[in-house]
Amino acid sequence: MLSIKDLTVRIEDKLILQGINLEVAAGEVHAIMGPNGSGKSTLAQTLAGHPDYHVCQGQVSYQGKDLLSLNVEQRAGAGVFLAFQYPVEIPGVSNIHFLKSALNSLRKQRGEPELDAFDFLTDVKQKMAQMQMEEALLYRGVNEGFSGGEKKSNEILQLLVLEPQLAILDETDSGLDIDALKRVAAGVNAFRSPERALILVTHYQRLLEYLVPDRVHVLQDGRIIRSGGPELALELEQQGYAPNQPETITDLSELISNESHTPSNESLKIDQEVPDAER
Amino acid sequence: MQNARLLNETDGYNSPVNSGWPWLTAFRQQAQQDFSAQGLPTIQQEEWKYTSIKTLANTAFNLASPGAVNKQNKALSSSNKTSNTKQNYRLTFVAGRFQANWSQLGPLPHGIKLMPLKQALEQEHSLIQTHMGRIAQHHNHPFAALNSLWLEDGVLLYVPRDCHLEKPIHCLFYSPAGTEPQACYPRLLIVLEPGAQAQLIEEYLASPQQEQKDGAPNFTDSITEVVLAKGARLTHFKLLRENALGRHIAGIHVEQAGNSCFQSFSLALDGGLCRNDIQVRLNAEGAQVQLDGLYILADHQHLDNHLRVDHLKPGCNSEVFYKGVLNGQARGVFNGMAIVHPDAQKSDARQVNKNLLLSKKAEMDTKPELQIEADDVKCSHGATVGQLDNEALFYLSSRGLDRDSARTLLTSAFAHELLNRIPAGQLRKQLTSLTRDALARDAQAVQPDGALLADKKYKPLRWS
Repeated sequence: MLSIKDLTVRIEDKLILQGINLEVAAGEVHAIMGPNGSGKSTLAQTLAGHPDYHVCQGQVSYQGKDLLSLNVEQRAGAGVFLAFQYPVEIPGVSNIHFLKSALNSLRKQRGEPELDAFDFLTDVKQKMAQMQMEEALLYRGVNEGFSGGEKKSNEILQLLVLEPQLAILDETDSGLDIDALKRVAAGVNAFRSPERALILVTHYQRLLEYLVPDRVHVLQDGRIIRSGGPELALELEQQGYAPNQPETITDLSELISNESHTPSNESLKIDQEVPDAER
Repeated sequence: MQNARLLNETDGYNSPVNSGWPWLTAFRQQAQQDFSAQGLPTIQQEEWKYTSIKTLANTAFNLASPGAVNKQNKALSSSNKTSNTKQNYRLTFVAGRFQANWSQLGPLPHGIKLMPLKQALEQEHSLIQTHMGRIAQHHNHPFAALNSLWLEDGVLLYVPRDCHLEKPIHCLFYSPAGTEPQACYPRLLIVLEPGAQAQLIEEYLASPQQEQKDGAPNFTDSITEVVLAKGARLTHFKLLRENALGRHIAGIHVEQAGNSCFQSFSLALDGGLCRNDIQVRLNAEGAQVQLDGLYILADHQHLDNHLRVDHLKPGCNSEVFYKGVLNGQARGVFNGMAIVHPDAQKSDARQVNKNLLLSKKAEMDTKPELQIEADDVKCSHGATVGQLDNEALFYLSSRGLDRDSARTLLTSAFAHELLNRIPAGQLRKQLTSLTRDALARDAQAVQPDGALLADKKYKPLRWS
């Protein structure tokens, strides 16, 4: 479904992704893990088409299409969905109006007629009940004054209503208490099907207890440095992201021991040289 | 001299000064003197710094005449939508002259006087003599003087003590297309006795066909005087829907007694060169004024909103809230001045002006001002000028909305904050829909390459 080859991305003059390769097949769940600043969110935003992220090289093929040649709304129309790490507040646009405009825009792109207002509302309310969201949130401004949990739930509600093919969840688990995490995970599990694929961007293994991935990838300094099965997430949880910790420590101690010797020699030399120079 | 032509015009016609009634003749003579003493304002004057009326001053206008108004007139027929004639009172003016066949003045509750000014000049001259020119003073408002000199028709509304007029009064001023530059001078006088309540809508409409190449400019110099006695309450709407050839200069002058309330909503959706002055004097304790405004400007439109509230006595409230969306090469000006006089302790004065610029060539000059001469007051003012929030645009696009729809959704949301302050009902619905049309029209005119979206030089605006 999704094939990423040698994807290199910069934001302004800073290179963030440095040759990402990733294959995601329909029905699969992939988890992207990694420390802060490793490029996880950049990957998510790039796939959704954020204008600040510039692709320097590489290809992304989605369902046989060149994803990078599509603009933001065309990607949405093709079935790509990004659940935002920080959902944007849009005061004055009611949540229900937003959902309806979004769904009808997608249907229009696919050449389908607008949805009947009553059917739409019934569908949305049923999905809200599933997410245990208060119906009142439909009539508030989009994410306006929503709690952290409500914002994340609202992202998953959009996922359920808009029914994309490929969903990218950017740290949807962060800031959620355990009950909210379970609700969000249940919503995402309801979305899963053999035709749909999921990319979960996350820091923690916690989410993966409820949403078991087929593959786990570790992103560091803009590269995927390790890939494995679900057990890799557990290993990371226990040992952290640094893959060769013992070696690093050895290197460091060597460096320190070198430093303790060399500088003293050098300073001696300098002491000797300076008087020479003065002479 | 910049104002030569308008002055020549006023010198050339002696007829308006000689009215047949000695008091009106004297009134006009005074107006003529006051106008001659001031001349037309120039951009050297602080109050007119951002609004040049050079093109206005250099045009020789004739006094407008309605000509033959077709009964099937499309604009007038469609403007019926703005008020349901069964529910509302309506006074229609074409080129400044009252049109009985497009109007509905009754049935009115006992004691209320609602009539075209021309009729009032004959029948109600004591009421008019008492107030006209006292609220809008000639000697420091040249356009008020000009209006007084030329005034011929307009509206008189008088509501007696404790009388509540439930239905709004819709005053429609329609400028037909002409081949010669035409000027008209509508004058409104609204007097509400103690405890009286009313709603009045001033709508200025021009035919869009006038925008054709050979169309001539229309100049409207309108003056509205409002007298609110103790506890009286007026809700006033002003809707500006002229066209690119419209030259609109308007003054709304209000005098408020104790515990009276003036609520004003000013919507500018289309026009050429426009200037709106609102001046309110809070003359006694407990008077309240709320001035709301929304402007949607595009192309080469120019709109200048000048507001002034004088807190003269203690315990009065004033709230000014204006928002604008500017596109194309439009230019907007906001100047809000609240003056708290030494006597006016416990005053509460607030001013907010928020603007959204949709194009790089649009310009907004905003200046909220406070002048405080009392020590126990609550005053605040603020202004913002920003662009659409790029993150919000991206969020909407990532859900499938195309750029135009996303923009319209965001600009509508920006406008709704203001529209939602209008009391719920049919009028709010219509104004909302007119605003949405104006915004949709503007969204399509935006640079198609989406340069603005990618331009990071501008900090995105956040409104809450």
